[in-house]
Amino acid sequence: MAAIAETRSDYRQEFEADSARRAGWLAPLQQRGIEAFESQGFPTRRQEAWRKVDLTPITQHHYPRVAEPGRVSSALTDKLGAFPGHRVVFVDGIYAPELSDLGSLPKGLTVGSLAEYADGAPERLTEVMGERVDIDAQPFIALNTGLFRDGAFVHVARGALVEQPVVIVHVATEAAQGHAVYPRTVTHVEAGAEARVIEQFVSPDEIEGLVVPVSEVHAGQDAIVDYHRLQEEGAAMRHIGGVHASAEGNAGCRVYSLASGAALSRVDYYADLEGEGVDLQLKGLYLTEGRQFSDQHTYVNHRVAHGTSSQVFRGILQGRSETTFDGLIRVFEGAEKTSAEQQNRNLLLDKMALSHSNPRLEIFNNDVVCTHGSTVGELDETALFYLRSRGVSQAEGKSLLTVAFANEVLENMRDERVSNYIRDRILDRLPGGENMRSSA
Amino acid sequence: MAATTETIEELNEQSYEAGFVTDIEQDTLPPGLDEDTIRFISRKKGEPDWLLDWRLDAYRKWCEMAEPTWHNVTYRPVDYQSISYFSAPKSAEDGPQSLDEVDPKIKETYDKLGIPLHEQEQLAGVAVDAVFDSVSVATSYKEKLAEQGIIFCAISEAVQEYPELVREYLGSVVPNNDNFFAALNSSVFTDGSFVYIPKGVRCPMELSTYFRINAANTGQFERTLIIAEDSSYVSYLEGCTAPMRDENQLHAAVVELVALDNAQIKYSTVQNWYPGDENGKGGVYNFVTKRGLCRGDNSKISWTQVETGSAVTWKYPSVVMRGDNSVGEFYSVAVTRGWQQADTGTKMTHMGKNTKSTIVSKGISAGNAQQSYRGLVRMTPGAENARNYSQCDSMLIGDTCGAHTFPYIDVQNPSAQLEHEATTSKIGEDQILYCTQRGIDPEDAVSLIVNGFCKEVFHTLPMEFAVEAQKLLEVTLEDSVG
Repeated sequence: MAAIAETRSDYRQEFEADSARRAGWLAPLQQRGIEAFESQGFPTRRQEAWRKVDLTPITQHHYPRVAEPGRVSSALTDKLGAFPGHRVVFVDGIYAPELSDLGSLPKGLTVGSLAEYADGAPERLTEVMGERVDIDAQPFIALNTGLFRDGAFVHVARGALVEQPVVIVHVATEAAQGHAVYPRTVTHVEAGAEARVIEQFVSPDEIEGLVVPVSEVHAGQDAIVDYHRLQEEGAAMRHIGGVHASAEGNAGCRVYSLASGAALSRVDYYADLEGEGVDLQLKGLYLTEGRQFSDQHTYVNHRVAHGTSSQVFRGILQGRSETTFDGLIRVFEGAEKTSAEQQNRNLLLDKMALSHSNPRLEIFNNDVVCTHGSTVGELDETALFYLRSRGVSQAEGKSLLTVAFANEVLENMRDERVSNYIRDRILDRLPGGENMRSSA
Repeated sequence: MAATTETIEELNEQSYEAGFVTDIEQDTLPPGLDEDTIRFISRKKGEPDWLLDWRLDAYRKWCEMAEPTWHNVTYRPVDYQSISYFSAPKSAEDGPQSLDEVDPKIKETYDKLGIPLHEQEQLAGVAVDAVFDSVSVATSYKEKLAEQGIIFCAISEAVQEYPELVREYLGSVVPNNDNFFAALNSSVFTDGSFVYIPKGVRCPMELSTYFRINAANTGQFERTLIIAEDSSYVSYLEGCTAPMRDENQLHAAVVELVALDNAQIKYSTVQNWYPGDENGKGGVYNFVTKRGLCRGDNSKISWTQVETGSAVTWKYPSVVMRGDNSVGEFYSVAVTRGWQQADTGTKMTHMGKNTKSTIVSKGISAGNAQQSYRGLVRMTPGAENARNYSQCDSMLIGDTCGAHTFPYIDVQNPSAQLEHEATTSKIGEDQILYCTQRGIDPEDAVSLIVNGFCKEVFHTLPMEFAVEAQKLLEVTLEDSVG
């Protein structure tokens, strides 16, 4: 325990070293963050939500924050072009204007870095930043809140319709080796507006660092938001993040997630239905191979009546990898006519893969319809036989069925470029899928 | 639907029909628990040294354990030093030689419960080993069972008569340090049932034990052990009611089942202990560890439970399927009303090849009750082609109750297939309308719908119990919805 106490004070020292250059408007929030982290400490396996996660690599030695952003390799710069749109790039947590493309932003859309507002931020940012994030819910969220240095701010004004997606890319470079990065994103879509956001996390394969991001996504009254989170870091990275989505009355908020990178990844999704008539969707795919460990936790809170939520998570496991899905639907007293569903399916492609699934319901109201379902298994042999009998090779048949398995998450995505991109990432991991690629 | 509030109140105000106390002399140990208490119990029962050592070992482990807090129930902490750990009806000390020698007051108690002890021989095929507080007072049909080599007796008797069997199997399924309550039970258990079915024997009747907590402040610690040898079959029934008390009564039982090759055990429970009064005062704390081990190939263990009583229930009947092709089943109906809380479910551990398990859990929550289903299905790497099907449905009556589901699924074998489904709903207005349209009055309609909701589980109960369970459900939910 002594080691952990020491690490905690290391983070505190880091926070204090920063205080001179911290923007005044952020100081109280970051202070609260570090204090919340200090009081919670790192989680242990004795805590239910962290039972399956081995955090010792993170808790045993201190990951100092990256001091100066490193150089982005050409292999990574090539990846930046994957999605056309209004692009904003952060290298090791710091805004990189030379890699970003923010020319010709349409009316009503603001995209920028938090560091730009060193001398004072507009009200529309200060009012929402950190407001809805519960820093006591998870220590890493508190840690990010205390130590983030920069981040993205996306604001869509009332009634604005943004056609092209906003693409936020967080790159970790060689400088992140043995170091930590704290990316932060605030997306605020005002009433009646519509926008799409793609947030992507990438890093070179051999870099072993710690990425602790927090993303806030808010949909105002009647707004429509599609938020995509693509976690694709290199095989040695450790990624522990949080996403907080909230929606006001009659808004449509859709959160899509791909978790395919990092040796250890853990993401907590918090979703709050704040107004009546909200439609909230939370759909995720996790792909693991080798000895990867991937952990997804969801907390969907129905606080008011007439809300609809749907969670669909699918896992494709290979090698000796391990995954956890822990989903929760919580229906509060007074949230009548709630309709909530939750579904988790896991496909084990290899013998030693291990999947944990905990779909949970907590319901304090009788006038609701809630369902959850969970399955774990391998590919259907009869389906595979059917394909083989029609001349499809074993490998191709497997790939075809695996992609079909992922399709329930992919096919409802409104941005085809994202769904095609994810489909190709699945095929990257499977033999015999060449003919099925979107580019083919 | 205007009647709803009214009728829910009515439901909550229903008094506990089986609440009465019988005054008989008790040989009770003063409250408190230490090694001397355990030595006293062991000496009183004339137990061999190995059992005393086993109890003391459990006690020492228990002292180092913390009471679990992960469950979704809240209750006033139990003061384990204020409980009296031994109470035996005095008249039982010499041991009744026949049914006629049974204390008339005890007989009266059973009569109130509707157990016709004096008419047992006429009672079609049911042998009753009645446990009054902690000591068995009467066992019937013993001779008839003995003819086939079946042993059905109190566990304290089994310790004397069949020590090698008890020693081999006691704690083999639920070790004495399995969990906090099981460790407590292992150190202070006073009585319970012991069943041994020899090779190839199909038990000709349903074995049944009625439990009844009687003396105030007496925790009851039953220990049940059922062993089914190769190719044997047994069906065991357990049913309980308790008299009305203001003080919370602790019940921490342990049930162990062992099924060898091709053996089948069916264990059914109807639990109707005192749930506390309309303000949530009093009631039984029911913290039970039940586990079955399918040790042999092609064996089968089936748990069926109907839970309507107790203030707090903490109970997870489990099956460990170690033998190839073994089968585990869990069927449960749990009804909570008033201020009752239940955290119940099952654990299915698949170890052998082609093992199969089925979980069907139906929860009905009314008034201010909170109910949770908590389950674990685990497929270990050796569980080739294992299958699991789980279904847990909840029904909510009234808007102040809660229903929660916490299923855990761990799969470590790709050939395993597993499905879990759960729904939460209330009785549909359209369902009621459909019934009333056809001339069925709303109350009958509710009864019809609820019974239909639970039918899958009632079907698996033995006849005698199915009737009792249905009656219990009717009484519990009478006038609940308009």
